[in-house]
Amino acid sequence: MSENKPNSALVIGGGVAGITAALDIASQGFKVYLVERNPSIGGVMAQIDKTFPTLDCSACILTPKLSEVSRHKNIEILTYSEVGSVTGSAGDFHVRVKRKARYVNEDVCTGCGDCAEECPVEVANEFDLNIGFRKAIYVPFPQATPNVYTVDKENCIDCGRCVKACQRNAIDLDMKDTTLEFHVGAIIIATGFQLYDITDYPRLGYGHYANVIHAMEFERLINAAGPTHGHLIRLGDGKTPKSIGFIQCVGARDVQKGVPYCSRVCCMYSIKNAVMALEHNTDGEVWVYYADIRAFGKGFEEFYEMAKKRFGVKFIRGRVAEVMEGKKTGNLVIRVEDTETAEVRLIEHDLIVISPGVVPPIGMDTMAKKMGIEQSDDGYIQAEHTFFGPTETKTPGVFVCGCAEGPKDIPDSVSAGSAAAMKATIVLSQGGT
Amino acid sequence: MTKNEVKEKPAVSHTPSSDFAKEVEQEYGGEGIMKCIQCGMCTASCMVASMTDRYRPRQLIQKILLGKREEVLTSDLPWLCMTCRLCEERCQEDVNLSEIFHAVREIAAREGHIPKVFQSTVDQVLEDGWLLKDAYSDFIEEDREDLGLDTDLNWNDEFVKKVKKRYLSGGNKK
Amino acid sequence: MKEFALYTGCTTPVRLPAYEASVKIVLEKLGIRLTLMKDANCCGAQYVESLSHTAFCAMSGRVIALAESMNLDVLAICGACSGSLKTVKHDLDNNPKLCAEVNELLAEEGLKYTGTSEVKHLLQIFREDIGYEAIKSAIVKPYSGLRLAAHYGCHVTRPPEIVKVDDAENPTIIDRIIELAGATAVDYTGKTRCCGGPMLAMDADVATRIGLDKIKNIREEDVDGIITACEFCDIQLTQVQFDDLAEQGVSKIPVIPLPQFLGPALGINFDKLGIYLNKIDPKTILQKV
Repeated sequence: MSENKPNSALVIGGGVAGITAALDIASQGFKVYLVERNPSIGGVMAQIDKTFPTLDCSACILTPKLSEVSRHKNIEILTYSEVGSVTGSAGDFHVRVKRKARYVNEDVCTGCGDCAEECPVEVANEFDLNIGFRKAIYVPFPQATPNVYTVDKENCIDCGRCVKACQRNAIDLDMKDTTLEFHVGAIIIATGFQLYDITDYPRLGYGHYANVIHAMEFERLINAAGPTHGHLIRLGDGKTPKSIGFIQCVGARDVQKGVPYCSRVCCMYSIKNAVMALEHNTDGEVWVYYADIRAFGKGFEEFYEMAKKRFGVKFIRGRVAEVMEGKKTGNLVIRVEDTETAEVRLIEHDLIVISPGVVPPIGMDTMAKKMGIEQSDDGYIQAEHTFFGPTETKTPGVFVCGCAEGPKDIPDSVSAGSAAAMKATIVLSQGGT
Repeated sequence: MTKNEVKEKPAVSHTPSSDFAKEVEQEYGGEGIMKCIQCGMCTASCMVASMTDRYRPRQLIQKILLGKREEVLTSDLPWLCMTCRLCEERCQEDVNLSEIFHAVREIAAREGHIPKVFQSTVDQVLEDGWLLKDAYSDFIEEDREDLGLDTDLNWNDEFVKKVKKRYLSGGNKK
Repeated sequence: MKEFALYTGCTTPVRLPAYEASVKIVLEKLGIRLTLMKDANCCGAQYVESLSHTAFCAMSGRVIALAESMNLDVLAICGACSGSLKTVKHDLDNNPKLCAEVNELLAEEGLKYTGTSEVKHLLQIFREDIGYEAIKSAIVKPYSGLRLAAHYGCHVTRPPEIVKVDDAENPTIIDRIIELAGATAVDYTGKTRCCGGPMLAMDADVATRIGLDKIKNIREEDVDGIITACEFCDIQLTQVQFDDLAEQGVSKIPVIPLPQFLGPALGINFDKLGIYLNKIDPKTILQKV
């Protein structure tokens, strides 16, 4: 162990919480290693179209932050990388990071895109929820940071056309994974979330009926940079849906599926989606089927009222039991009880959007166990103290922010990022705990 | 519209009380009733509710939660559940409606409110040991013989009489 | 050879004896020996169940205790019986006071419930005790060009934590056997809905309409027949098609229990399976073997 305790921090996860934490630590003069397993930082916020309750364009408010991170002299971005192992204790952690080979030299690539034009392989684009396509050599989205291409080796056919096309010889198809080792004084976990896998609800038809989609697919469809250039169309036949139904509390507040907790954001993101659906099609009809509307935050209740009064979104208090498909039309019929009138109704829609709940991301269990970080019963990272330690974990020197600790919207994730950064710099500035 | 033309609706008043719900909670099968958030998933799943207007499982649970004891126990609503359990499968709060209604039926039965068809069927079963003794005609006996099956169905009718005596013959049953 | 105590329940011997016969023949062919339970009583489903939980446990408990005295596990072929016996077993196994009370009554006959006998439904026998591989190799005359809809039955599959027969929201046992026999298993709207049978006592009109709703959804898929795993469902889905409310001018869809469907594919003679007793002639199905 060195005499000089390290003056740097590790942030695991490049979503909005991780980015905020990284910027706040780096702006105080400490060095930050920002590790992100995807080819670019940005996280889920980069995929969202509009944010609630202000209807800001998500990418527009996020990308300046991405720029700031990439330009910051104290932040070293390590994308397409994963934390391998962590040993040591607060003040001096020894970290090993596995850097997956992207087969493109980051220092040389300018993101010009000549390679992608030549690439003959097209695969489903995970950024667009597998609705659109990308090439085997790709950037996940136009403002990807760092703005370098990555080769998806699993689907690459090694034809070498990209290599020839690159005028800067940035592509090396024989690149190998590398390992980077360094010491940090504090670690922040900001690994985000994933949506509940709603194929677990066969009665709602997701995966069977073409015109049943979920909220993130909806975001990509209405996004101008998405696979349909912002045209909200049905995936079954390309028609514009006139009547849309939103189903709430799927994969959330469900004791039987092991997710008894409320996912906090789905009511609001659905109201936002409902409003956006009407913005895209002013003739349309939008119905939201809910058990409760949780509009708890600043501006949320006003947003809900606006959705009802100004936009005419219809809200029915009743959980949807089944979605049935009309074979000839591809239209869907939902069965719900309007609990305010005790009427059992069958309502037809052109498109159904299911609002999945939030669950811990893939690999959370493995990472937490490997690092010896305590998790709560529902799989998130356990905060040290509900009131006075919401960004601290049970392990000194390791902090948590964003959805890695529990479902949160963007403002709360950013607050948590700053809070965790503060806690981390206390450690760093004192060379220990 | 003059005052005379306005129709007077009879005032319905009920003082909510959780006594009945607590009573149901104590019964076997009724334990989960307080978990209900009245979301309507059960009624939306219920085939009986979709075929008749008078039965709404959520509303029946609501009546119990509000303490409408007399109304619930004297109505036939708790007996309209088919026990198909689609509601139980889907309830996100894990409320077992079918079992709760069974508990309500048991309370109703103790107080003498049993639909005729249930009473007559139970009387038959507890007399014969099985349900279809009267329906077992000669034709069917022949059919069984042709198929190589036993014609003597060999049902025990002693045990059920003991069950009746002990549990279902009036007074305090349990 | 695996052996089970066959508990037929009240309804099958009288209303659908062909089901009983085909169960015996098909299971014997596939290596399961069945001993008919004698001196049994009604499981108490639905009616006694609603009036007194303890009485219900006594009745179903006795059936399981009888199997115990035979040193065998129980095979229930009726959905309601299966559901009742399994639920009561669960209750008796987890509630010592209840168990002691029931045993008090059983002791008068020298019977005792100790929980050593398992209760299984017909579908479990196919999946667990016979196995798909064995079924596949026993098929000698596969079907072809046949579209069939499976109806599982509420008490067969629910509540899944207790009955443990199949995935309640997306059951597959019958569909797999249909496919193994060479036919095409067809999905339809409302596959896991009730047939309406239990409602007949209180409101026959509603019961019929529930059953007809199921028939309507199945008809939309253009199937040749419906395969069932409970005689109550079988009788209900057959009977509603004869009702006045049924769609007129369309041919009735044959409804047959799983073993009766599987029999011909295993090379068993139609008459032994009681096919001639089926109310709706299943020739559209059997032609395709």
